[in-house]
Amino acid sequence: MANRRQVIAGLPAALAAGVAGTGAAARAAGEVESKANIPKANVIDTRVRDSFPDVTMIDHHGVTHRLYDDLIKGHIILLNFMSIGDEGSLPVTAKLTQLATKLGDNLTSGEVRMISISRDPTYDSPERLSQFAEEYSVPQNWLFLTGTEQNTRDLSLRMYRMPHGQTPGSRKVDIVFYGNGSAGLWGTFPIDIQASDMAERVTWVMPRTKRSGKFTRAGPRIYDQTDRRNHNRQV
Amino acid sequence: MSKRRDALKLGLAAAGAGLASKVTKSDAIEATVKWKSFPQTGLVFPDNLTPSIIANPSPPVTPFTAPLHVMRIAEPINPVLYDPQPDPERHQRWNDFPPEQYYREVLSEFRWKYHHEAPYGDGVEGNVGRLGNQDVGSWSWGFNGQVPGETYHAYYHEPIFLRRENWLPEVGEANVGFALPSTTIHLHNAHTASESDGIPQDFFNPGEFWDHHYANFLAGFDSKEAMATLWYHDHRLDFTAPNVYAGLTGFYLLFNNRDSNNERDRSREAFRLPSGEFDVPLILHDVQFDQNGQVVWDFFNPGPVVGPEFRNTGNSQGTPNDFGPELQAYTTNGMMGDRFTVNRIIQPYFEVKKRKYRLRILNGGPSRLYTIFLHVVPVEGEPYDDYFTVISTDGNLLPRPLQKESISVWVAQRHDVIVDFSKYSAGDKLYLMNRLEMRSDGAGPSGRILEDGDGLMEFRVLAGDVVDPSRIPETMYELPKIDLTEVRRERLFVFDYDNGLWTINGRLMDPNRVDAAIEQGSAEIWTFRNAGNAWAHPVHTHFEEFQILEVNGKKIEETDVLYARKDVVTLGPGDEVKFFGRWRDFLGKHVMHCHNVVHEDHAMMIRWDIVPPGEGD
Repeated sequence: MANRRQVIAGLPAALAAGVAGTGAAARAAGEVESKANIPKANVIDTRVRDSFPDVTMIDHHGVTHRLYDDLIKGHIILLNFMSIGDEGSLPVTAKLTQLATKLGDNLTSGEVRMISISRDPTYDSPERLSQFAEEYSVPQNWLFLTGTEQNTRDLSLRMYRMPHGQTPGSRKVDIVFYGNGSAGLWGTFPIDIQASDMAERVTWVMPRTKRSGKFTRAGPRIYDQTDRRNHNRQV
Repeated sequence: MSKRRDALKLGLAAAGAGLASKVTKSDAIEATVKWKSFPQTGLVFPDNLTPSIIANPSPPVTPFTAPLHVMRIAEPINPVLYDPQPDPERHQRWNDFPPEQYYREVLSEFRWKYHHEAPYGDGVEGNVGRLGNQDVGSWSWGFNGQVPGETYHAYYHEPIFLRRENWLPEVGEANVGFALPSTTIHLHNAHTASESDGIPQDFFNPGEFWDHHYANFLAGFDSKEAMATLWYHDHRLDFTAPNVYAGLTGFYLLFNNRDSNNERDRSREAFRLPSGEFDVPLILHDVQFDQNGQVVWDFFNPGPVVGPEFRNTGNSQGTPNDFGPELQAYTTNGMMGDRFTVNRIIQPYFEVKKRKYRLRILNGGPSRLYTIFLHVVPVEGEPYDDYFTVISTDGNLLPRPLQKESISVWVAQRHDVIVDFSKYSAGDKLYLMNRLEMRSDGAGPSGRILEDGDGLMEFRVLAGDVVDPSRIPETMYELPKIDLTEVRRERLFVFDYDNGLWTINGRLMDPNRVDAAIEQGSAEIWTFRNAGNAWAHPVHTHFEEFQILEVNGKKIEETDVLYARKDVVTLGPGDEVKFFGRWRDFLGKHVMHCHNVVHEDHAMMIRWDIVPPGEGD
């Protein structure tokens, strides 16, 4: 649970040690200082590549990729973080195999790609990941990626702040990122929703054929108190 | 600082007018008028840490030089125009509340000028919003060509039917790239059946429409349940934050025979609150722009990694990773912009007559929290803070008006305040000042209020005396009676943080899982507990107002704005809030969630259902 140091919620930014300057001059000085300290190596440029660092990663077949240019750009992407060691306590990959089945043609055709990034690159070598993928009968267009400590770290920090549990095995929840690498549109879903729901959510960021003619009714559907669906849409 | 606050209290007690503070006039003008690239007073970033709002700040702009945009009032349409026609079979209790007014909304993409200065606008003073060069402005999503959308003037006992049509561009074709052109619009916090409520699952895509039936009746037919200031906003599952941020918000004002939208109302019942052009809704959004003046959304939410204690031990060896503070990380904490906007204009000015105004202040998010003061910079004399006359919280008129030196406005919170500009002189300027200070560990409000602040908007007092028929009533609505014998059960909801994610009772939102099955007509007591010491959540539950029984074990004083009907709980670090609520009148699916919409999109939400008596959990 909660590490009290963890940053907060909704509260915009952070603060630091130290006392807030009170005058405009103090703030201006602080600003200059903080600008001067922009880390050169690890700044993620939010203006390009959907803010992805274009790091080099190795997949479980031993093939090297630039993460953004080779894998994400122009594709519909499902992306999660995992480690072989953590699968026992939080079976993310097992759950995603159900999703892969639901995706069917969208995945086999390569329109949708699944990317699972190891956050334990020291142990999760391409060979081990290959064996791991085999155990789960991972289909084509689902890649397990590993890389240098630095690169995997940059990615995990890019996607979300990842304490991933204060002690190994303590994680109880996780999310999968889904996005459109052409449109720069990204969302997340929790890993414990139904696989069919996951597959539906991926379609939300996929291009749809433009409808022509009259507007159609999305809902609400005819009211029926006994209808147990999780929404009121007419589908 | 404490001196100033004490002085203020004294001033309020003694005279009702503000006292001069020790801030000098030149300081105050500098603080309020000068453009500040540093976004929020009281924020100091750790060494080596550079959130993108600092690395890539929005282009500069001169504050208080663009006029306030006041949203136009929505106009009803002739229902014969609907094709297909409204279908009563799709709505609960249609026959009990047959619609009397009909509306249509078109959701579309267009350019909006947040300011007239380049790159936001075409450089012609006064050209804001949709005015001026149509090829200039920030791409936005809105309703009927407006952002925020049109303001509804609705009346109790006058049900409304509203059809919303989605004319947004398809995925990949929009200029607003970060938002999802599939939407569901929630009317916060109307007493509305599930199918019209705009729950996250009820989305409609481009080329589709959704019909909403707003019955505009009192919960439980209890006259003490009358609401006043509501708002509508996108609630799309997984995409609420970017969709709201793209522009999908607006006001929905509810009136009745007392709060009658007529300051000259001769009825003895009428409150005669300021009405018409003197009743001004103000929605706050903080927005980030690129160098071309286009709105930027960091969809993975920039945020700093704080402190050397931060460790990732989720590897097979169980050894700490050295995620040093030099790294720029992205978090699910929230999205913060560095431009304060009011009604989607950057730090506007508003010319006011010397009379009372009803200002309806709403924080539209996505994540920033405010504590707002009323700062006066007179033509003659020293600047000082004045007080607000607060008449409502969460959109509900209070038992009686309260004089407060500040209002706390977390995301989705609303306060209606009365400001009487007749007591100022022509040429005086007043500012809504945000002075929320953050904790030194970056984790939340410190509990202190800063001397300085950020000016959100400016009021300019015009010359000339005017007739002011409006009044501030001595009493408004008593609170509905709490009858504990109605309570069927109590529930505990613990808000926590796990694996970089925000949880309620240890879980994330699954729309297929009913986390609470509440029996129609019953009451329950809910306890919200924040298990964290460092973060805050504005938690909202749909459908009915509730009354807080205790905050951290203490009862609410009658002089507290929390002595009210509420729909948002401000759950600060370590807080525990217990409230009483009723669930009446309809059946169906609803949600409770954190209204920091970035938390919400990362699934800090539960589904609860109203079920027939005997079928509850």
